[in-house]
Amino acid sequence: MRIDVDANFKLHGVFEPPCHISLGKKVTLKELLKCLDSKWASVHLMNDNELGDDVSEIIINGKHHFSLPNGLETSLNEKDSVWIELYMAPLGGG
Amino acid sequence: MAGEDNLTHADLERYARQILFKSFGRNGQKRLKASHVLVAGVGGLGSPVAMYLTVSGIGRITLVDSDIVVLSNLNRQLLHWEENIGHEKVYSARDKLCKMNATIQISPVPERITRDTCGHLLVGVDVVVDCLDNMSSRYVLNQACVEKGLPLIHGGVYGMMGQLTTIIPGKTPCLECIFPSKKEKKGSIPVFGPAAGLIASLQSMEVIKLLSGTGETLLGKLLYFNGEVMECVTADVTRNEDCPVCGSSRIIPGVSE
Repeated sequence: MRIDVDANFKLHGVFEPPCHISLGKKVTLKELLKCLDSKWASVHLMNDNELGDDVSEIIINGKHHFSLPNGLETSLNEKDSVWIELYMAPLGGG
Repeated sequence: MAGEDNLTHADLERYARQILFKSFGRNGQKRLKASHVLVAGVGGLGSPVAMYLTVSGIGRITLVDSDIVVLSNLNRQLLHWEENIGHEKVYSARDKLCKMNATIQISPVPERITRDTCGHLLVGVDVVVDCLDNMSSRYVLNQACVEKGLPLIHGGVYGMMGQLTTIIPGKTPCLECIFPSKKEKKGSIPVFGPAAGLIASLQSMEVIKLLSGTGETLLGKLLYFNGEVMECVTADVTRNEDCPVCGSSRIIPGVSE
């Protein structure tokens, strides 16, 4: 299945949205985020089964994930669009 | 003087490798020479920033830092050497920078960045570079720059990570929009010299581009580099209309309801 992913950030040479993520099977939102998370070292989308500290919001087909009845367990469908917004914590040193 | 502009023959030779860059050229160099940059903090970030701005031919640089040099600074603060331990950083830095380029004006100011000092420090400044070592001082500097409409090049580091963005008041989000949380861990922050050096180099590049009108700057973008895993993330950052510093409902000092 194919999921359309967009975000407020890009990882240069690794993740440059908007893009399509092709998956071999039907997945939930949590599984998609874990799949992406496993490919990156700097950005933490998931922390065990919770959203990671770096995530500001996730929007699926125009709806915030927390407004969906199943939250992170929401099953994704072919060509669903997922928006990922990060919050970057400040680095205070100089 | 060399012809119709204010660049001397020595300037043309010293800065030849910059002037050769087509979109920069003589005009870019003239703009740098006519500019005044304030470097807030002369430590891990501020040392390389001040060095690159000095050798690039910025006409006037003001260095602001109230700290003295200690041994634990020397892993990253390139302008301070063993012989400078116990001396004020701004003078330690000034002494080396003058030897790198004696044709520019360097003004050391051994003061802290506070609401009170920002007022006079920012007079006549074209661009401010945030090389501070804590968030609370950064918020003070950010607010002062917003009030005066001054561009602020923010940089910060932690361990092998670093971040930077270019803030233009009224056009881009300010530091308060991007990092509204005031939470900050107490105590010393781990910093590797190369992380500070990388971010400082990029901050210097932003200053040169901004002043000369060359290329694209990090407006509305936060660049985040993680040297531990060699990943580079660019995030879009947006203005907060309710920002207490730059939003439409901000509190303007001196203006009562």
